[in-house]
Amino acid sequence: MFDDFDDPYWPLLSEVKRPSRYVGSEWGAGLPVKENATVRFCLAFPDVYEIGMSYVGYQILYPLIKSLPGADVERAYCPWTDMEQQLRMHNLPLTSLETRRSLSAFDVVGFTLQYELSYTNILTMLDLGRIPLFADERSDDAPLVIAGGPGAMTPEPVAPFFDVICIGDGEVTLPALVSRLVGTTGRSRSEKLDALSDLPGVYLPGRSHAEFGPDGCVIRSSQPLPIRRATLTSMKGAFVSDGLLVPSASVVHDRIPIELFRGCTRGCRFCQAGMLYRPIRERPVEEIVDALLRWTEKTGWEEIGLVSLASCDYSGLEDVMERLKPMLEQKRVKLSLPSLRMDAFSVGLAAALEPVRRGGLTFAPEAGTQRLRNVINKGVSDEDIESTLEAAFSRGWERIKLYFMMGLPTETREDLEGIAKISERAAVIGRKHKKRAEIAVSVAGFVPKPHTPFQWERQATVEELSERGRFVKRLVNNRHVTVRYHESEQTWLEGVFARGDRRLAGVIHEAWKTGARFDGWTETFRPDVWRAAFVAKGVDPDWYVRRERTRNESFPWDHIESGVTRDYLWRERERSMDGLLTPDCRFGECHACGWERNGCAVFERKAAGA
Amino acid sequence: MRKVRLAFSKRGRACFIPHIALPSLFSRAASRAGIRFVRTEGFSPRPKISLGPELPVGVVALCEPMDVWLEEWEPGLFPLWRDTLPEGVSFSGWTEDPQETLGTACEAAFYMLRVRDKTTRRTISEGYPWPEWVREADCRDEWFRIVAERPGEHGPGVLVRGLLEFGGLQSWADVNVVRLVVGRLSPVEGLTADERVLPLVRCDAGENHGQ
Repeated sequence: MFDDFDDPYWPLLSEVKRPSRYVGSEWGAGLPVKENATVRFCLAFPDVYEIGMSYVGYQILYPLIKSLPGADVERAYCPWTDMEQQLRMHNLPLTSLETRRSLSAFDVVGFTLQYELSYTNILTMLDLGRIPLFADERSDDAPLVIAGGPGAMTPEPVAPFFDVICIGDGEVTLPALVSRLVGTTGRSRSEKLDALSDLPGVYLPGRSHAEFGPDGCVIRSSQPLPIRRATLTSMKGAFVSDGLLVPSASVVHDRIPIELFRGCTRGCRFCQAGMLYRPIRERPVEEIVDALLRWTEKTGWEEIGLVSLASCDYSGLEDVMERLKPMLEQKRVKLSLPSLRMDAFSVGLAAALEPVRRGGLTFAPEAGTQRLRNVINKGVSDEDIESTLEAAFSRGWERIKLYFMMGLPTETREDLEGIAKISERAAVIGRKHKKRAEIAVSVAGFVPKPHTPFQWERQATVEELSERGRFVKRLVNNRHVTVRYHESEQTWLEGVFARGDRRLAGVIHEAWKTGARFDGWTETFRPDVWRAAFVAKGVDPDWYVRRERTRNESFPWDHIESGVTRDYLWRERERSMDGLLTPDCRFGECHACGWERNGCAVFERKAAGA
Repeated sequence: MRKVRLAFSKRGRACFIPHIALPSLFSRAASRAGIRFVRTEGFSPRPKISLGPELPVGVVALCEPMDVWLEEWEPGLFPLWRDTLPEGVSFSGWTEDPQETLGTACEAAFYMLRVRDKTTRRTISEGYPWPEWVREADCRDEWFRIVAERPGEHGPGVLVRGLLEFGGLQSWADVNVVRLVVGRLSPVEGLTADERVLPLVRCDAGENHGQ
């Protein structure tokens, strides 16, 4: 009578927390499916739905793949532990949301590597999707399992799980990949990989092996190395979808996401994204305005989020705001800036966007003293911090969130005291304007990341980070300031994977088998399981984090080329130790990061002007 | 300003979209259809919308009333709005300018509740003391047909919790619940369960546009 209940997953949905995660039912999701597609692609996100649906990358790649001849696309997210248990109990596979077929029934399953601590979730999804975990165990009828995203720039710890790793902008790599796969339908796995092997940005881990010697880790491959990141040369005319997927239950970032530009030249030395996504590529104002007018019409979303690395830096920002204004007012759509620069201009901008200041503002001074901010090249002065806080509170905001890091290179006691000082100073400024002023301070453990000037550094230990976190917390003695610091064991594990090599794949597998799940979530993270897995596999995790590397050590990511040269990174490291700032090249001289020879628009504009 | 009463349905997996997510689901769909909501007063104005009695996740619903306040309304907007709803959620009818509030008008609800296990079913039909607000509960085939009063106070959650406590059912997974109608309790005597509750909006699967 009611076939709703015939759905074999219905009893499972009745038993789990937040069942809406598994429903789909988004506006704009790809039904009806393309019947004649020969390449069925599943975009898999290795975290829960509400995180995955907030990811701008899949809002681009989903309609992009859908638009490719011969291809169709669906999505899957990682089931939370309760749902995993239910799926195992009922012996049901993890499926896509759209046609509800098992992941094993796709031609390609693509994961995005956003965060090191999501790696075990990939294994959960493969296993529940009934795909062999290791690439070399997959037969011809298993899907090709591929990866992209920032983690693809350091793929070795997860390399054995993937058939293909796509390095660079998905708008470049995926159309070429899909077209080759459409052309090789029905062929063997190895023939398909042959067909992909010469594409820009395509790395085939199965065709390579790692050698470990006194100088470090060297990757040898039948493919010519290094693999260079495939880069979208310009955002002008870049793919912009007709519509977007609109979730039916609330997600973390419930709004239209738009990139104003890709890349960032501020040159913060700790920031991997700032080094990886160069050169800076701005989307033209008209294209942004067109997209937003269309997307607000087609999605019904009440908010637009500007999601570039530092959206305040976009040269056409005021122009965009001016041109959107009538639509924003008429439709009562809100424009929001998730990341704010620490200056009065940015506060002014935020004020213009939010006439009623109910929410809070977030800033990232990153370090507690001018000296340390110079080391990390965060071009924010004490005066900037002071005037930004003054501006924010005087314009009516009551809650300010401040982000800091601890464990930065050269950090001393004074730098940690600086975090407490700035936080308390913020409270004093706040209380001057607002009786209910609140300061929320978040202190994250610093993880030295590959492809950055700090890739050679030692990482602070678990004990050091816990101690420093407690130290800052104790120092702050103001009931209007709350200090939180990150779980230092998670920071430790993130650090191990960040600069890890292929030997870690066995450890990830072992930890997953013994219960590691959602390692990025404090409620599920199990450091004991990880420690045991390292022991079982005979891998010393601290070797990856505790040592300072020598200048010429061969790194397990040297075969992946970001476009920024190792020489530049080393120069930046040296300048860092001397406390020298390297100003943003948009407003000064070129620092020869490597892109000046490869189509950097900033460099070319200056060269043309000279 | 126009006040419109709509009836919506939730089918399939969309039944697991929580009640609290529905206002924005409907207002976004309206926006896609070019329909403009009147906004609430206060610090955070939002589309003015009033849902009927709460519907827990996992309950199939065929005719749930909802009041909306719109800047303009004409019958032609109904199919436009319906076509911008996500999969599994639909409108089955509408009526304009309802006189009473939903709270007053929602006197009773008609449910069908399936218990697949025969023994459990028998235990319930023979021994369960239905609460006083359950006007009727008869069992035919695998289904209990239930008329319950004041659905705003006792919804399907309370109904199933009672059965769980009684011991017949082990968990929500053992029972399938459908809410067919929410509305007026008919004053006419001698009606069958499915005739007792009168919808506030005529609910037909087709192109019906209310009265």
